[in-house]
Amino acid sequence: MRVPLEWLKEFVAITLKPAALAERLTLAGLEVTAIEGAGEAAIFEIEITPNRPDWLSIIGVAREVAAITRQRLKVPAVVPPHVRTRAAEASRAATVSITLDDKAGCPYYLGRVFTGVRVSPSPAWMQHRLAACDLRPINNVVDITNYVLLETGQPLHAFDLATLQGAMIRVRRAAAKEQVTTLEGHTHALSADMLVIADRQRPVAIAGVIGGHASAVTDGTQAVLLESAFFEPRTVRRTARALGITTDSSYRFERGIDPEGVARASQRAGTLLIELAFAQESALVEAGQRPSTRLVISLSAARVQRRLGVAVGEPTLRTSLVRLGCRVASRAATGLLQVTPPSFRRDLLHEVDLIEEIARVRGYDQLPATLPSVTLAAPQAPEAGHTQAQAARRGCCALGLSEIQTWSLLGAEALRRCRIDPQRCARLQNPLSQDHAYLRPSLLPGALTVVRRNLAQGVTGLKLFEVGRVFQGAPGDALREILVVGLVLCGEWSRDWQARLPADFFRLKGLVEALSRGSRSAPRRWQPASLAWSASGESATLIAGPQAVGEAGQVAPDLLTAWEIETPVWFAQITLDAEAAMPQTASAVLPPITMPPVKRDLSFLLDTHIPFARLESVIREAAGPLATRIELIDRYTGKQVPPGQASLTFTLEYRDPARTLTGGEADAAHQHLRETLVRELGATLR
Amino acid sequence: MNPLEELAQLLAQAVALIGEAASPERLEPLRVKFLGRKSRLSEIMSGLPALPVELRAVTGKQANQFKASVEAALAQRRQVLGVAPAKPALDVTLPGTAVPQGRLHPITRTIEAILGVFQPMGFEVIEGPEAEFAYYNFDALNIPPDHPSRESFDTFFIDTPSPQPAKGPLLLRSHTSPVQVRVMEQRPPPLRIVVPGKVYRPDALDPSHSFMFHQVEGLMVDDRTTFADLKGVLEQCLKALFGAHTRTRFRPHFFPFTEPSAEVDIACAACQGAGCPTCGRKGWLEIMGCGMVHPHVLKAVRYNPAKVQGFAFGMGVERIAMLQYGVKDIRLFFENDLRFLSQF
Repeated sequence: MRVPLEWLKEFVAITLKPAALAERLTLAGLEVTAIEGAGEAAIFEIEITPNRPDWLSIIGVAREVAAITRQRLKVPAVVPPHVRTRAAEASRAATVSITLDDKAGCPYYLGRVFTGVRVSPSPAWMQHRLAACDLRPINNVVDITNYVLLETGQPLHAFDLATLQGAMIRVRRAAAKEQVTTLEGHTHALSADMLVIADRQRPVAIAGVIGGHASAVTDGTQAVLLESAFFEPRTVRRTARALGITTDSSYRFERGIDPEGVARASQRAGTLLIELAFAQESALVEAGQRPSTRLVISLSAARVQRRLGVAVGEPTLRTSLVRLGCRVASRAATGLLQVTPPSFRRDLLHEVDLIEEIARVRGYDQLPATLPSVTLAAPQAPEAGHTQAQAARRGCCALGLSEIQTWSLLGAEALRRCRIDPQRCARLQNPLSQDHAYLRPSLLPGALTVVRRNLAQGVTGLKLFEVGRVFQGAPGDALREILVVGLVLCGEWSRDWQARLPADFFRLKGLVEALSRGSRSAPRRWQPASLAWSASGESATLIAGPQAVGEAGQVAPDLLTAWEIETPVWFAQITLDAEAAMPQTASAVLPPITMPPVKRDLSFLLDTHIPFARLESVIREAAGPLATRIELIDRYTGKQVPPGQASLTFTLEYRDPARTLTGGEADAAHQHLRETLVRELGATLR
Repeated sequence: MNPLEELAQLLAQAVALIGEAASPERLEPLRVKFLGRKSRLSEIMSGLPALPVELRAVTGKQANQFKASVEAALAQRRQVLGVAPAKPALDVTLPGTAVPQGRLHPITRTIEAILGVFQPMGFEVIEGPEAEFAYYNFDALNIPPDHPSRESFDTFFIDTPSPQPAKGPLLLRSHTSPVQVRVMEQRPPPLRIVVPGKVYRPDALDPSHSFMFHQVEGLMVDDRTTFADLKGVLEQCLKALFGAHTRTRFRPHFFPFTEPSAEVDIACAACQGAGCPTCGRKGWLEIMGCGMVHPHVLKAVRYNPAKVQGFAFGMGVERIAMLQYGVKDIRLFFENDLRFLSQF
């Protein structure tokens, strides 16, 4: 809200320089975000929190300035109504009947009728102040309603009385298919929960939100109905939001106006109409009752201390609250202060609200800062999610991967380019843009976005990871939120003047295995898979126990083409929740065997269709418990080897934990192994 | 002369000459003189077959010893004179072998720095779901439907039927505060928790706004924690994050879930509170929101507000990272350009 200093000074004496006043206001909770202009011409831009609608006016701000600088508030004298004298002279036509059909939506409505109005531009001083507050001057009648709104915070509306059919006002809910064309010329269809101001036949305004075009004051207007009313905040809010209209009026009604300010603002505007538009007041019609605001709150000095951590004496409590407009009585029997907040402080409902006011008036900076004394509680097991996420981050970092953080919200196009059907993804009802409308079901689209960006910038050799949530469940299905880690390799793993190590599937697999090594989860199986995002024969599903916990592979080259990525990319995504769910009991460890080993090498040719996992289990079983180390040291396919076969070389160490093994014993075990390979797998020994 | 005696004399002579050689260049002629093809040694060796049998073996042995001794003397002298050994030395100034170096994202680093302030004070780290019920995001936090206080919490709703309709529709949490409620529902006081995580708001991307960002929420409730304690704890936090001399300022604000509520500013490091372009001439930088937990929130989790009290706070991680590292555009955090990330 914009507050011109010179206008403020009409209501309170100010000796502080603008910057100093701005600081005082900010520390009182009216955050001055900017000061425009200097000296007397200064205009404060103030951010007002939704709990303080009483600050949404010049007088409201002046009231706070008076309270914090200990000045007196000078409220303008309101000329008493001329109703009785003038009404007698007025013609019968120059009056209006007001009916409140919906007292919940509008408990109180005050209508004043003015005749003999001469519509013309408003005086320069008024136009100047309106412009300073970013309001466009229109004509003297409309300007007066806006001016009084800014001054008092009470929204007003002026109707051209001649346009109101039946000279009547009915405040009611809209009927089916009714519509209103607003002052701005937009036609809105209304719904039955919207409150309207209607004449005998049709809505002429949307209550508390905006006036209708047909009933607006124009240059030819002679008689005016001035509306000052109390509209229920939620009704106004719902209507304004449903129609997508926010006005100075709806903004204030939504937050709650001062019920006792309704009549005052009406009088103030009436005075100005008489003064500036040569109007005569011909009728005042009151409908409904002002909502009662009388609320008495008990305040205990002990509870103030308990909450703020500092003792505040009763006299200080009393003067602080009185300065804010509260009435304070004390009840000797209970020792409690009985506080009646002013009608404009509809936010003061409970004792804690008063305690905040005590702290605010004292100044938060004047309150002590202490460190709490605590009661220890039994330690809780660390939360799985955070622990898992941090362990994965640290693990990936230690393995040489750099962390990225990508959008959780993706567009349909990015999903399709990763061969993910957007129909199978949870989506937002109200996305900000179509590029960020779906909850990511995978880290892959984000990863490829990052790869593309870095390659385009000439950054190569990408070794990345992300830890975050992905979301599974098409619209209509249950939504699952899953913590995962994603690994991305693109280009060389490392490159220097001695060697270039390419990224490939086994590099990726090595990283995944290293990452899960510390996690004591069930052994993982790598099962060939055909994944949508990977070329066939280039990817695997990771199985832990009964369930799939991840996938890994090379991203299909034609998929990358859609991303304009020309360098091969390897990607893996592993679920972290599954690991967290597994029991984390420590298992017993054994001391290392100190008996000397007998080493034997083993070379053979094997059909490449036999998976290594099968070979390994045959070797392990055949070599028996004496084989303490079994290591593949070479695998070769090519010219020296028949097609469809691979030459494999293992080195094995045989040891007995209890005694020195003889060469003969090792040879026996090794010979058994060699024979088994030939018999079970058809290996050709070399 | 007996070849044995001659070799002994020659050795003495060679050792003396080698010992006197003033530079490495002088050593090579000496090597040629004593060990070369035209040297006396060479003559003795070629004369061996002519020697009497009894002298032959011992002279051969002596000749070999002579050769070894002269070579040793040469080598020693070479070393003394600082001549490079036969194997060329390493150029130790060549680059070391490339070792891939992983880095944490600046947001993770900042979250860790914040948690690192609170964990030693006994705050547990807890994360909650990002897809949240409206009940936890709003209602239980004293943000009623159709209330203007919801305005600051504009929210993305998820187009999936709520699995628990009583808790309202599913949305992407607009702050980390719902986790307070979830934890208090499950556990009795005393509680000290910090909650890091992603939050979402429909703000268009620009240098200072993002529809996805991170917060760290804190909650401390027991039977005695006061507003003064809140000030003390947060002052410590900001000193730890921004330096021991950081000045802080608490100013009244409004949050539906706290009362009293405050926003916390730190004095702008660039101008020390005087006002400069960095802080938009305000002298202070807004850093977080906080307050005493509102009795309505305590009631919503069935705590007794007459007996339980405490504070809550929430801070934007990106904002803190931007201030700490002088980053001017929030979008840099999510572009993931490695030239940016590798600086942290």
